[in-house]
Amino acid sequence: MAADDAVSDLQVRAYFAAVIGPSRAPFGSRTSAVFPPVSGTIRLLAQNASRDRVLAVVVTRADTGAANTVVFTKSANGDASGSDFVVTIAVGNRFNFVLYPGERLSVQVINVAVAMQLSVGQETY
Amino acid sequence: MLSPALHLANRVFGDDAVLYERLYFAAVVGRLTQRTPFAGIRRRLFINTAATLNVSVQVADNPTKDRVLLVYVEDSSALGQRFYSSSQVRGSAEVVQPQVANGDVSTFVLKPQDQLWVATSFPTVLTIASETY
Repeated sequence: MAADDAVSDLQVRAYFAAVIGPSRAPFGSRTSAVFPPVSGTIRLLAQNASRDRVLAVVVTRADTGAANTVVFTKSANGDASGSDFVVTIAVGNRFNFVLYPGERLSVQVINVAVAMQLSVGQETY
Repeated sequence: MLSPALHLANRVFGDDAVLYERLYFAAVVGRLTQRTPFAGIRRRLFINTAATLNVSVQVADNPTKDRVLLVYVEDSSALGQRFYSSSQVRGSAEVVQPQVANGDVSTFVLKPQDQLWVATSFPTVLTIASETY
């Protein structure tokens, strides 16, 4: 077996997405999600609807308010899961994700101090 | 002999393999920021604006057809946030750099035909360096 056969084509795409994606924050397909100051609000940020591509997602805080605690999760309805990723997100913080086909990325706000707006950049690899 | 990055890119990106190899190298070098004082074209951008006025200024553009532009933006401003976007039209979907400390460096990798803009409401001093890959 050749050395490069150890990884699939999808993993190669994920490799490039993980290296390049964070440097491409202002580019690609862009959307935003607005959160009122209500704990529990959940929004779907990104979804990889492809069959054989990888989606690089960059999430940044787009307003200028105080820090909030949020949960990044693959669950679309806020159910706690083993994939939960709890972080404090302040202005200037940047979170990068690589989604395989069929995966979705949602964020739920908890312990909300102020209304918040996240910007989401997506590029396919 | 193919570089490891190009070898892998050839497997999945087809005709765009060379472009992705360049993106890969630019992103890695940019992340390390060790080329900041040396990168090819350097200029200093002064944005003087009243606190109530938002101003958008082009930071860099990549007019090439097949090259990648690595851009370093070093912020020497005293206060305020910077909003980076891919066009002059400011929308809600932008990248915000928080109130900065002298010497904060942001790096971006521009594909062919990409533009990078910055908007601010505060007097701003940026040192911009770029290198082509």
